[in-house]
Amino acid sequence: METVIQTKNLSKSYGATPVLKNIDLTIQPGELTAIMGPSGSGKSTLMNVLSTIDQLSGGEVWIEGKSLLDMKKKSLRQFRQERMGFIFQDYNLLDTLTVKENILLPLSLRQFKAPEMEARLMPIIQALHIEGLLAKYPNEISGGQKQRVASARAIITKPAIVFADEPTGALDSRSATQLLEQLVSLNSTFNTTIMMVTHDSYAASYCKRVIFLRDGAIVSEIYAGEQSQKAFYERILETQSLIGGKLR
Amino acid sequence: MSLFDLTIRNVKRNFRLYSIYLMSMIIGVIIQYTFSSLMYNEDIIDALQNRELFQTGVAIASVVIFLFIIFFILYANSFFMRQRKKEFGMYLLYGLNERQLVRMVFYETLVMGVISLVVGILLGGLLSKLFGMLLMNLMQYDQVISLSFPIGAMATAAGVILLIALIVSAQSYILVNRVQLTELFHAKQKAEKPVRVSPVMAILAVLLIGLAFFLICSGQYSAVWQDYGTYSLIATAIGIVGGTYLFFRQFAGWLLQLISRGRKYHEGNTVLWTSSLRFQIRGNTLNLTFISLFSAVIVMLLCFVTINYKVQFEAVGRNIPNHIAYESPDAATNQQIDEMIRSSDHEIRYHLKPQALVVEPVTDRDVAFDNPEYYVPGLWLISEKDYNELIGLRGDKQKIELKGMEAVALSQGSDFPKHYAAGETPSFIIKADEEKTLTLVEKKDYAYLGWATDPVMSMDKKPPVFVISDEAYGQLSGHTEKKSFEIYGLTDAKNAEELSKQVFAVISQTNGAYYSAFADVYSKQIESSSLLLFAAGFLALIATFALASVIYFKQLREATDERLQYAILRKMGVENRQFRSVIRKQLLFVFLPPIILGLMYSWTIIKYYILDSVTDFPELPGIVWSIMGIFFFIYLVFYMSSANLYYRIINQNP
Repeated sequence: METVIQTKNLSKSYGATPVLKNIDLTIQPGELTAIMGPSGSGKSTLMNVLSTIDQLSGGEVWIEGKSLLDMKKKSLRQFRQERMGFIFQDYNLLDTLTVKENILLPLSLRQFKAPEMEARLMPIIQALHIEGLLAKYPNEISGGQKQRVASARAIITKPAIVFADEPTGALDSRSATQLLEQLVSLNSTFNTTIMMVTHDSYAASYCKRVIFLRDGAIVSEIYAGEQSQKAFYERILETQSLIGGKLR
Repeated sequence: MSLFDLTIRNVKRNFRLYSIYLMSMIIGVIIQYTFSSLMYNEDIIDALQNRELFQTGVAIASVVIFLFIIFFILYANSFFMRQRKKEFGMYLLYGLNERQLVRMVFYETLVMGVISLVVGILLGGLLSKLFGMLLMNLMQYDQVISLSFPIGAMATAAGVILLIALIVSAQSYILVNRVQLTELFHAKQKAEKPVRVSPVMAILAVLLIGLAFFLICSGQYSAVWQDYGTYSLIATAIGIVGGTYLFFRQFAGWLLQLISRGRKYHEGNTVLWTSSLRFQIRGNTLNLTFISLFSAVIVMLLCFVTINYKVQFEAVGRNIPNHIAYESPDAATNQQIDEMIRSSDHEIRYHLKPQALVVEPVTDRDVAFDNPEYYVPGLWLISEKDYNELIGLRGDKQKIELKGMEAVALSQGSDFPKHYAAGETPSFIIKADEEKTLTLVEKKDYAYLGWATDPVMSMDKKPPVFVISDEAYGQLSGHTEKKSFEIYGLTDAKNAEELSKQVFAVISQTNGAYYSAFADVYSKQIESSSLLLFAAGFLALIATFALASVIYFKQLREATDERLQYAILRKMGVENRQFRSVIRKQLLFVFLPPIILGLMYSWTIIKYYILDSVTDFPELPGIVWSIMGIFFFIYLVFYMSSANLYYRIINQNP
C-alpha cells in the first residue's frame, strides 16, 4: 500500500520565527500515531500543514504520493474534502442537524446517492455504539457522544487519514477512555489511519506510535509494539521526563 | 476617560452596526421631514381648492407616519441593543453603573440624532420638492413648487428625534437592568427544539386559506355574501389571518418534515438549507404572517386608489354628463345667462332647450331606481326625440327606440342595470291628470340630466328621469305640468368653475331650481382623488420601508447567529459556491410564500370586488398587474440583497 504521508525537510516559520524545523516523517496506512509535545512545540502547526489548512515554508510534503506543492488551492480543498477526515476538540457539529444528518453531511455535499450513504452509515454507527442517537440533535447528547458522532463523520468518507486535534481535550476521563477505545477499534476494524495531536500521555498511550516534538523538531519516537497499554503509558511518561520540560 | 470619549470610541469600533442603526434613523427623519414640509409648503397650500380636506388628510397621515417612525426606530434599536448586550455586560463588570450606561446610550442617540437630522432634512427637502411636484401633476395644476425648509417642519423633526432619544434610553434602561452577568460567561446555545408539527393542522391551514379564497371568489352577488354577509366577512378574515399564520407555523414545518423524510433527502445540500429553517419556524411565523398580510394590504391600497383615480375622471362625466344644465326660470334670465356664457372663455358646442313632463309616480320608485332616496321627489318624463338628440351630440352610443307606452328608467350609477325581456317587463303607474300605465323595457345606467350640483356642496340629488316614446309624450303632454331646461355643451368644460359660479348665482335665486355643472364636481373630485392616491402612495412607500426593515433586521440577526455553523462548514471544506446556493434556497423558502400569498389575496379581492364592478375600463387589469409586478420586483430586490447580506455576514469571523 501507498505511504499516506511523507515529509522531507518540512519547515514552517511565521515571519522570522521558525516553528517547524526540518521535519522528516513517514506515516503508513493503518497507523495510529500520536504527536506529543509541550505547548509551543509546533504540534498543532505540524497538523495544520499536513492537513493542508496551513502552507509550508520549506521542504516537501507528499500525501498519497502527491506533492502538496504541485496542487492549486482549489484542488487542495477538494483533496482535503475527499481524502481527509477531521476530529476537533470542540466537536464542531452543526446544531441544527440531527446526528444522522451530521454524520452523512460530508457525503451529502459530495453528491453521494442515498443507498450508498446508508450502506456506509451502518457499520460505523455500530462500531461507535451510537445507533440510538441518530434522530437526536447535538444539544441533546453528552460530550463523549458528540465526539463519537464527530468521529463517525470523520471516517464516513473513507479518508486516507483522520486528523484528531486533542479529541479528548473536552471530555471527562470516562468518556475519554471510551472514545479512545473506539478510535482503536475503528483503526483495527476499518484500518483507518489516524494521527492524533495531544498533550495527554494517557490518550497517547492508546496509539501504536508516539512522536515527541520540542521547539519545532522531532526529538524522539517510540512504538508500542507488543507491550500492554499500561506499560506503554509508563514508557511515554519516562520518555517525557527524559526529554525534559513539562509537557503542556 | 469620560463617558463621551467612550461613546465616540464605541461608534468608531462598531461602525457597521452603528451605520445600520444610523441608516434607519436617517430614513425615519427623511420620511418625517418630507411629509411635514409638504404640509407646511405654502406653494401647495396656495394651489389647493379644498384646503380643509388636505389638512385633515395630512393630519391623519402624519399620525400614521409618526407611529410608524416610532415603531421603526424601536425595532431597529431592539436589534441594536441585542447585539450589544455583551458589551454592556462588560461595562457593568468593569464597574460602570446602570445610570452611566443609560446616559451613554442617550448621548449616542443624541449624536446619531443630530447627524440624521442634518442628513435627513437635506434629503427630505429635496424629496418633498419632488413629491410636491408629483402631487401638483396628479391634480393637473401647473403650480411650481420651490425648495423650502419650513421652520415648523424642522422643529417637528427635531422634536421627534428628541422623543426617540428619550424612548430609546428608557428601552435601554430596561435592557441594562435585565442583563445578567452570568449570561456573559455562557456561550449562546440553541436550546430550542424544532416546532412540533401535525399533519392535521397543516391541512387545516390549507383548508382555511382555501375557504377564504372560495368566499372571496364567489363574488359579491353570490348567496353567501348577499344573505350571510357578516358571517362570510368573519369567515374570510379568520381564513386569511388564521390560515396564513397556520400556513407558516404548521404547513411550512410539515413541508420541511416531508422533505426530510424523502428518499433523496441526504443527497446534495438539501440537508443544509432545510435544517436551520426547522429551528426558525417558531420565530418566523409572526414575521412572515405580517409580511404576507402587509403586502396584500399595500398592494390592495395602491390598486384601489389608482383605480379610483383613473375611474374618477370618467365617473364625473357619467354622474354629471352636462357641462351646464339648468331649469329655466324665464326668458329674460335665460337671455342673461346665454350672454354670460358667450362672453366667457368657453365656446358653446351645442345648446338644447328640452322640456320634461312632471308627473306623480304611483308605483313605488324602487321598481325603476336603485336607492330612490337619492332622487328628487316626483318623476320627470323626457321624450325619446329630445333624449336621442342630446345623446347624439354627446357622442354616446346609448340611443333608445320606444313605441306605445314603453319607457326607459335612467338609473345612473345602478349596480343592476337591466333589459327586461318581453313578458317580464314591469308596469309603472303614473298620475298626470289621470292614472296611466307605462311599461318599463329597460333600467339604464345612464343619465340624461346629471346630479344636481352647486359650486360649494358638489353633488346633491339626482333628477328622476324616464324616457318615454314620442307617442306617449304626445298623449300626456297638455295633461300635466312641464319643466323647461337649458342644456349647454362647452369647450374646455373641465375649467369652467368660474363660469359655473356666476351662472349658479343667477339660478339659485329661484328656489329649488335644478342646476348641474360638470366643472363643479370635476376639480374637487380630481383634487381629492389625487390627494388620496398621493397619500396612499406615500403610505405604501413607508410601509414598504417597514417591510424591508423587518426583513433586513431578521436576516441580519439570523445570519449573525449562524456564523459559527458556517465556520464549521468551512472547516469541513465546503466551498463558497455551495454556501451561496444554500443561502439562496433557504431564503427562497422564507421569502417566496409570503409574496405569493399576499399577491393572491390582493388579486382575488381586487378582481372580484373592484374590477368586476367597473367593467367598462379595459386598461384597469393592466394597471393592477403592473402595480403587482412592481411590488414583486421590489420584493425580489429585497430577496437578492438579503441573500447577499447573509452571505457577507457569514463570511465574517464569528
